Amino acid sequence: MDCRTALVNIEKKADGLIPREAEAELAGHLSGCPACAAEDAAMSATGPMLRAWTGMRAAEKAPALDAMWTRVRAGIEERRESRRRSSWIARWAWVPAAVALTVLAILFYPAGTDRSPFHPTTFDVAVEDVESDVATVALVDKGEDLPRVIWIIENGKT
Amino acid sequence: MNVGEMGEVRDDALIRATLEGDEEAFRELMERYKGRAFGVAVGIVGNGDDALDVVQDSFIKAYYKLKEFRFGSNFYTWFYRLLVNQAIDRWRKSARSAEVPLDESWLSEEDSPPDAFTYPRTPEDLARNRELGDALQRAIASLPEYHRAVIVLREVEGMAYDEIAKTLGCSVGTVMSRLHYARGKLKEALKPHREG
Amino acid sequence: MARRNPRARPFAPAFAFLLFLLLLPAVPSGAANAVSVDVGAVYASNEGTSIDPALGTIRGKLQSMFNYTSYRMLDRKRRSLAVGETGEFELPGRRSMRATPLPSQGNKVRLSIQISDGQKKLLTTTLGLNRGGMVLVGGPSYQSGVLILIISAE
Repeated sequence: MDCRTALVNIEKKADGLIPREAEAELAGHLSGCPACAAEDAAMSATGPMLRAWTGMRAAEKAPALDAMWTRVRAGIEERRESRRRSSWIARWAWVPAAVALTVLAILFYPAGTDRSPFHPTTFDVAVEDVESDVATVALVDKGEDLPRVIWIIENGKT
Repeated sequence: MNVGEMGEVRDDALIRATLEGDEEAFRELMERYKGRAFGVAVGIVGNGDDALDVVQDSFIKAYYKLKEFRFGSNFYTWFYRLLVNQAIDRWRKSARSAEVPLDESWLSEEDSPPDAFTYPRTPEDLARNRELGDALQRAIASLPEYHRAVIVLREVEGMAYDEIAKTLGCSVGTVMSRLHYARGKLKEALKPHREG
Repeated sequence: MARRNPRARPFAPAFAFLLFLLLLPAVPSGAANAVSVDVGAVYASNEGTSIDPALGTIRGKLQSMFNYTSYRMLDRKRRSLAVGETGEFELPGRRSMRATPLPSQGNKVRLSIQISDGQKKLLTTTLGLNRGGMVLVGGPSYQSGVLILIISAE
């Protein structure tokens, strides 16, 4: 077996597709060819390393993965609610003035506790200044799709 | 009830129950695949937090698209197509957005932000050392998205070529050539870090 | 005799608009300059895995930004404040927040925010944001977790 054929068979071996007769021939070639042996070792290592890496990431996120159903269920509910809202608006589209009136009343009427869900339109916030008498403050940005965070680290606490 | 070899309820029975309004059936389906889904998602998007979002969004989408599922075909192949597309969309979105640098001007020298935040972390020591993990993550991120999907589905999920082809909607030949390319790139990137 | 059109809907928008005109004087003058400040107090912890549905669309964002497993809305208040008017918001755990809209232009809102723990000033900040914008202020300890305040302005 030459190196060119060996390289093709190394990849087939990685996928469990090498014919049995070629397997023995490949083994013979690898024992006498350090370059191909190194290629075989590299090919064999890639999968386990990738699996180890994804496994590590999964272990880090195990608590969040455990709670995945809570997130999925909430998302299912939210989409259901949004569909209900859309069909409601479509049904009453012939009274746009009444809808505008309701919105104005809600905006300008002083309200106390409010339990309607949050629907922010933007996270673009400028922090002009910040100070604290008793804490350290950190400003964190995680991207335009996430709200800006001002984090208060009370002195003496971690 | 359709029960498989291990005594578990089969996927299509759970899907039928979900379509009849049984949310617990969908939960069982989700619990069955969420771990593997995370492995695929993190391989494509490169970090755990985005992968969690991708898994969540994929299951929510799957719930509402279940009526399109063709009984007799594999649920996981159908679901993984949704998942891979979500993951690739997510990766493209995050690659496009500019990374806003952390404003550390408020920090004192002693204090650092609490562990509660999910900061981008360098990959820890995997099989060998920290640099290897870095190299692996960079190598994966350097692959085009569908090449990344192919190598993750093959090496992490252990999918056969034809299953990968069905999942990605391409030919087996395309799967093989993308896999060959991706393996070559990863080998090159990891070569300097492998022990002799 | 012509049949009465059962679809008398065209009259409804006209009636609603007339009602709107009648109510217009009741709208406080200067309302266009008023800022509606909304503060939600969220208890974030690792006790359990419940995510309060009242958090709406930002549930997923909280989960992706923080490593807590549970988020519960303890309280939510909204005040409509004129520019220069200070509103007081009682917060869980003996904390309080004072918010004052400052002069600004166009669709922008500027807020002066002060968060206190008794006599101690935990945070004093000035924020500039568009109406509909949101910012999070978090960190003060609460029970076995922390408080995260969701502050938005309309």
